[in-house]
Amino acid sequence: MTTASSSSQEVTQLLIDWSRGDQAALEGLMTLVYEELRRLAKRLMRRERPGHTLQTTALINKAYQRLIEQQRVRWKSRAHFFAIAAQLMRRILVEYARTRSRAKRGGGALRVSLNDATLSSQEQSLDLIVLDDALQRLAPLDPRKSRVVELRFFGGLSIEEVAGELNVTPMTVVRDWKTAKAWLHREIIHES
Amino acid sequence: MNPERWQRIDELFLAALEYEAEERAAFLDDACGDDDSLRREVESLIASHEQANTFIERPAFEAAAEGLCRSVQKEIATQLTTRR
Repeated sequence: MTTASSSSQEVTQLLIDWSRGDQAALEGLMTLVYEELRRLAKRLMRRERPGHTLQTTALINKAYQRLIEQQRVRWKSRAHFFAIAAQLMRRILVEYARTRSRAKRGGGALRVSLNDATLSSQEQSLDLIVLDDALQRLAPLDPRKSRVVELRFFGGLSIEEVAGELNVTPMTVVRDWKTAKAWLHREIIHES
Repeated sequence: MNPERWQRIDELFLAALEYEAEERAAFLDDACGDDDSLRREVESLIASHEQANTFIERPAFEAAAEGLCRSVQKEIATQLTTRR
């Protein structure tokens, strides 16, 4: 990756290829997106004091959204775009977690908080790989609930946005989210 | 699990949450009758709901970005020390 514009064009092409079923394009996408994020993170970290990750997170998040925003015009519909973006995010994060977990044997896997109140405790954090597995088990049982989780947790969409994408009322999304969250939490606790 | 069974569990779980904890048992007595496995299923979901709190409430991306920042921080620290 040399310049921002060439990487953006590359991302567009890879996204199109991947959405058409080319699984090899995903690897290219992962590399590009992560390289871009690492580059941004590095630049930001040099300026910020260690530990000041919150602001950095917001900035990286913005950068990712910008990267994705540019591609939006090319999609058949907004819903199609969001579905692809959420799936892509899920694949990228889970694959990245797998790579790191292989490299570091456990300790390096991406973990998200099960409960913010006990964030400091290692036992209370969750492996994205385990969550992804549980979500794959939810899909055949209740496809819409698994999509709600994918769009919200991996795609970062609000309740209202998810309702718009799935063509249901926000109340339905709230209810789906509540059940899916309890179900996934139970699955994950049983496994760990 | 068949879809009808799952739908029933889903409905009862959400309906039970509308009741205060002390009224919930009576509601479930009534709704589940002698279907013990249905009741266990609904009760375990309620228990899980009560523990879940902020679980998956923040987008995965944010947590991942923080992890990435930490690893980049470490990398930079290593680079700085080896350069000296």
